[in-house]
Amino acid sequence: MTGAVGFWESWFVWRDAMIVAVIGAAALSYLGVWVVLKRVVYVPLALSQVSAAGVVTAYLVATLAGLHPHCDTGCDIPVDPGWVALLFALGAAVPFARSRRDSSDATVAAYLLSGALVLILGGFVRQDLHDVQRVLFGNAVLVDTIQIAYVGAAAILTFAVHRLFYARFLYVSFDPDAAGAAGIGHFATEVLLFATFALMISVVTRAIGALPAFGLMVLPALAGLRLGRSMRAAFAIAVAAGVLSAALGYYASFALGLPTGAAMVALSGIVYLGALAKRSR
Amino acid sequence: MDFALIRMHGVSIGYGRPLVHPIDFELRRGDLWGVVGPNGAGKTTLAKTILGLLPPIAGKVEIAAGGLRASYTPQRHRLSPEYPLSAFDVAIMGSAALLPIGKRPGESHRRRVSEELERLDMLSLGKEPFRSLSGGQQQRVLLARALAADPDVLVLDEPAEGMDLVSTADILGFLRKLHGERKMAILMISHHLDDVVSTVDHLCLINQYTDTFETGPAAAMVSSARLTDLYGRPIETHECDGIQHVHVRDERP
Repeated sequence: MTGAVGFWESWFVWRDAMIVAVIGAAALSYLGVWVVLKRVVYVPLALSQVSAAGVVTAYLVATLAGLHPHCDTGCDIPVDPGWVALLFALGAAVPFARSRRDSSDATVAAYLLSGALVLILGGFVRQDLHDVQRVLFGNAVLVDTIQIAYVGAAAILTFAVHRLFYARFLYVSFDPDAAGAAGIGHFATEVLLFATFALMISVVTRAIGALPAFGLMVLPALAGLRLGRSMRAAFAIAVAAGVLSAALGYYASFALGLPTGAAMVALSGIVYLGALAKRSR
Repeated sequence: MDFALIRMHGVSIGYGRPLVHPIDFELRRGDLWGVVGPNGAGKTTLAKTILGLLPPIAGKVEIAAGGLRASYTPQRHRLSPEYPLSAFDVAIMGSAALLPIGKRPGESHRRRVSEELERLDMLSLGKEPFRSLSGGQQQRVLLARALAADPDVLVLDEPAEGMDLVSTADILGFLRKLHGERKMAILMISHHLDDVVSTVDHLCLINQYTDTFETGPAAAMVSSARLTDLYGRPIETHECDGIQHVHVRDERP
């Protein structure tokens, strides 16, 4: 068990990153159940890409203003690129929340255009590419302590909104026409739900990276819905699977020398495959 | 005198382009309407416009002063089977969502939903997964959900869709009974012309392909000429033991 001993001895290196990943995984896995049920699994991808466009835009504005931001110890540009990324993602949540067909068109368009925008604007940014990449896609190993506060606050806000609006989210998601006929504002409710997706995707992508954020949103939720026989059970299984994958992902990364984000996603995938096997028996 | 709950003045329905000529239509408390027409005729579009789910292209849809409570049961195939919900979860969904934000359904709400499930012989299956119920049972649960909200207007989109003869007769019989017991307006969309004409008081014929929109008492609307125009095929009607029967004339040589 030298791996385990070494892991705990160097706990101070992992602590912040693991706390962020575990909190982020809990919130993303919970939200993932909604994402999978609503069949909008491509939305987190698009939100992540739109966030990236926000980051590059922030750097471009700083470059045009003659500033020389450096982000090794926090960004010196007037507006933190992370906030711009969040703003962009929240803005994208509005068209994504439209009716399903319109929404999927808007999502694909946003994904492609944001990708193009990142590449085009990125060429004009006078900034070390490493800094931009770090803000864009985070780093599951080197996490700033402040990210615990960001991810924690976003998770608390997300769970609070869902605690208050759960019944409406469920009705509008399961049967939008009946909910609309009953007088529940379909669009406003969907915007609020999608805004929570945008919030968590944006802050977790920045903290630990796009791959683990997307993976932890989708795979544990799939497992939860495979095994859960009620909404409550599906949420509980998804959150447990997400938290476990995030925590064990760090250990696997340390012990086996694997890339951390990929290890988390791989473990989520194993949990999902296990759920598939159990359900098919 | 029953007053209009919903009134449509010169309303053009559709998505972008009007499906039929401008419509005048009134739904009064105590009315029991059937809406019939071929596939893709515009029946669901009409229902969604009446309920305010779809804005009219032109004209005005007015609702009774003080507002009204409307319940809608959609075509069952439009509901995702992925949701791990029990029959009771689905039935209480409508009441729960209408509570003030953050409030959970209390014992009185649960009792109210249980009563409706009981009336529809579904209470014993309340804990069963909704997705594992038969089509008829799912329809009853959706009906219980709609009724638990105590609606002024109940709109049912293909309530007998995919049901066998007995289940269809049961659900239509229940609606007839419900209409007698409660002073609500019921509007039912159906492909089962035979069943509809013997259940409803008023009939609305709609077909966007022939620009047809006609309304009136069911007995007057069920004529060979009208239905032949509506469906574009020779249709015959006859009455047997006081029940109207409709069938397509076989044109094969």
